[in-house]
Amino acid sequence: MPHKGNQGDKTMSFNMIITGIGGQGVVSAGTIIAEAALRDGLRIRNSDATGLAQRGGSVHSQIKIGENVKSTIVHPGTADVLLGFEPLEASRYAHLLKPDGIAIVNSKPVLPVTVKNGMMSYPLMDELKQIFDERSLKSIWVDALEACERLGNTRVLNSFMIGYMAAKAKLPIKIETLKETIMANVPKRTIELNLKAFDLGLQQGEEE
Amino acid sequence: MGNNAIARGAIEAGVRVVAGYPGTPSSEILSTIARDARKYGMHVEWSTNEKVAYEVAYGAALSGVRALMTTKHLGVNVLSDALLVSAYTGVNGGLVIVTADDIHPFSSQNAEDTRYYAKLAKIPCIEPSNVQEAKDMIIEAFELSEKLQLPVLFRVTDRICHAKSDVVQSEIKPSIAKASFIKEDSRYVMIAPNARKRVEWLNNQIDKAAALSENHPENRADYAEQATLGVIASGVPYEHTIEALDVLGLTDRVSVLKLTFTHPLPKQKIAEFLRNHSHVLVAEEIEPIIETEVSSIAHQIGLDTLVHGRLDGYVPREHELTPDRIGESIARILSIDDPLVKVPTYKAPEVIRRIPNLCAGCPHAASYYALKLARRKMGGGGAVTGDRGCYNQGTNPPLSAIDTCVCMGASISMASGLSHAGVEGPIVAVIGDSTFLHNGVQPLINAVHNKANITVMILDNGWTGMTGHQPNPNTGINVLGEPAPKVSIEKLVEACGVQHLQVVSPYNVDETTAAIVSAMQHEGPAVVVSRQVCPVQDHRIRRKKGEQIEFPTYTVNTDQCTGCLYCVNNIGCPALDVTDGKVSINPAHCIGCGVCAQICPTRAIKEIKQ
Repeated sequence: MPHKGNQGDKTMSFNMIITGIGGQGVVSAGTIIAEAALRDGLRIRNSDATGLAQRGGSVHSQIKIGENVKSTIVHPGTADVLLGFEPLEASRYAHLLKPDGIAIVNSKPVLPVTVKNGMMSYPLMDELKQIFDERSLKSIWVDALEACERLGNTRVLNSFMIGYMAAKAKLPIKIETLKETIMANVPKRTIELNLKAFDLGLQQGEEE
Repeated sequence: MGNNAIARGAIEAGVRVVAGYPGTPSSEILSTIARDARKYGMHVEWSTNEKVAYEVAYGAALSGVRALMTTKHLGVNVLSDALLVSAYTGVNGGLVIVTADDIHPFSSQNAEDTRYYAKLAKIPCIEPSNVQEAKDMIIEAFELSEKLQLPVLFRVTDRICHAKSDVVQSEIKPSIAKASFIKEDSRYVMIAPNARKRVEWLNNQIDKAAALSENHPENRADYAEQATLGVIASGVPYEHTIEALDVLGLTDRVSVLKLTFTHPLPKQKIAEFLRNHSHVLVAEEIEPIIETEVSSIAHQIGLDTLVHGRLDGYVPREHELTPDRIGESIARILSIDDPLVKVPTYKAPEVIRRIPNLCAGCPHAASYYALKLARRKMGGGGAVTGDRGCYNQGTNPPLSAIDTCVCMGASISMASGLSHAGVEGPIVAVIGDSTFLHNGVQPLINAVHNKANITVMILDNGWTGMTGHQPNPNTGINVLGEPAPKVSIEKLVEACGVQHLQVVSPYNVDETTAAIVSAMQHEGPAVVVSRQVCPVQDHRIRRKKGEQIEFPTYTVNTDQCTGCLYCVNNIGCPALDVTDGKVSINPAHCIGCGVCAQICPTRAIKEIKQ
């Protein structure tokens, strides 16, 4: 999509990372946020790690917004937001947050097969929260899966999380633009459900 | 996405023929171009392997039209045979090879720097530093190829291919070149007497390329006043360098020489940069190619400028560079002379690694289970040589199903070697349909001819899955989505001279196990085709058509489940959950393949009759 030229603050810069596992919609969420920023006339860089996306591996998407963005990789200590779709995968990237950054994490773990069969043990939730606490980083944990189950479909977890983030973090993107971009990016038959999930996330984020 | 931008650039340049073989992170370039193939009159194809693809593009470029070949780094090894000789004949229409190097590596068997091939073949190499540049410079690469009559290596990495950015597009100029082939034996028939003449021509061309590199606007130095340190950065590390200097607040203290036309190098520009600094850091991916040459230039002109990089340990020897890794190198060098410069360290939290697995209902997992049973029935021993594709995820626990994974087609030839060496027990090669057609047929012919006592399992899921489900000659459609003749794997195997062949569905565990045992008992090479279309892709296609996907529903009778975890440990299906020691099936993930129900020792898993 062509760049429309920045209509906002020339010195603004906003970095974020979305983490999760294959199948959770991490890359789609990254695309939606980056494209929404573009629609709002901002310049973007977005880079994904998707090598094993379809096979339950770790996946992340890094988004950088601002007039002077260069490298596609978020420098440690410079992320404004860490949006975690899975607790273990969120904690893995805690060092990317800046001191006043914020982690917004779905608290429902997805267990690897090697944990299910007892080969490995999954860290306790408190240990994962501790990773943020010991670095004096703010983290907000939300059971997004439970919320999506209420909507009857867990495949809209990413839209819920984007909505929830829009309530909790100061994004350089308009809420309306995020919704427009979701509409443009998800399969037609799921537009309504995704918007519902986004609104639910937004509402829950504002209330909590 | 960077790959879309490269595709756009090639279309803007009026490319006529495009060929490639899928490979991460290159695959989306070709599939993007394919979407516009009819509109702009381009021929686009997934070829059977990279050498074939390169030769198709090369042949087209001899006729005067522009041609593009796309590959990941490992494919350059495969096409190198043709590449090195094609540099002797040269081309007429522009010929560009886009090589997407997985330099970390994120999803490859090795991390490889294909820029060595540009030196080896004596052809120009272009390394864009971001997505916009990739789009713009591929057009220039075609022009350069025509100017010098040489193929051009266009080298990108994951952080361009799979990066997204705002991009300014240019106008599309459809090609008006008319294809014609003019006989010129002294140029195109590379018998030794002709080759001896052409090597001189090639050396002249690469000298001309050096002059162009010297004056290229994207080989440029930004001098910081009174800087003692200069960074020479090529490709993506250039942007990382700028970012690192910004984060560290050192932009005014460090000069940067950006290199984009990196073979041949602009030696005079580098010499001047060296003269102006006491330290020079080279940031490149992934081998110290520029660094070695920079050191040699410093030595030739008698400078005592210290050249730092991967060779002297100032840059980590392995893996991709990132802004923080480059920043740390810069700070370490500056701190030599200025103790006030602090060297930053960034520590990532240590948490358990998430091991990827095969998808829920993956037919490969079922094939591996049958293979395990068959090996046990044959008394164990032997070895399983694996190949390249989704199925090499079978190496991960709990399956641990394969013993090797090296390169396309190697499973069959390595199995032959193990068998001829006298390894006892069944020797089994496991290879996917696309990999078999890429480079597995010749090893099978070889196994038959030389009487290797091996079992070959062809895991036929109908698609080139791992790289994102591209069609291959076994799919029945081509890259444009048009029906295409389907190769018969059975007939091909028979034509190779294989005497023992069985085709099974891996979802039938008993039948598949029996077929593998029978193949193992057969003296000489035997083949089992384990055929089941990739359910992920099958469901995707059918959903797009508006079909309702229906399959049997399975459930676990918790009274019967003893919690032995036999199912979890032997097929590792992600749809199987374990709660309080008992297994349950997650209906959101299960696709109803029924394999767990067949293997449960207490028959606790049952189909729910609707």
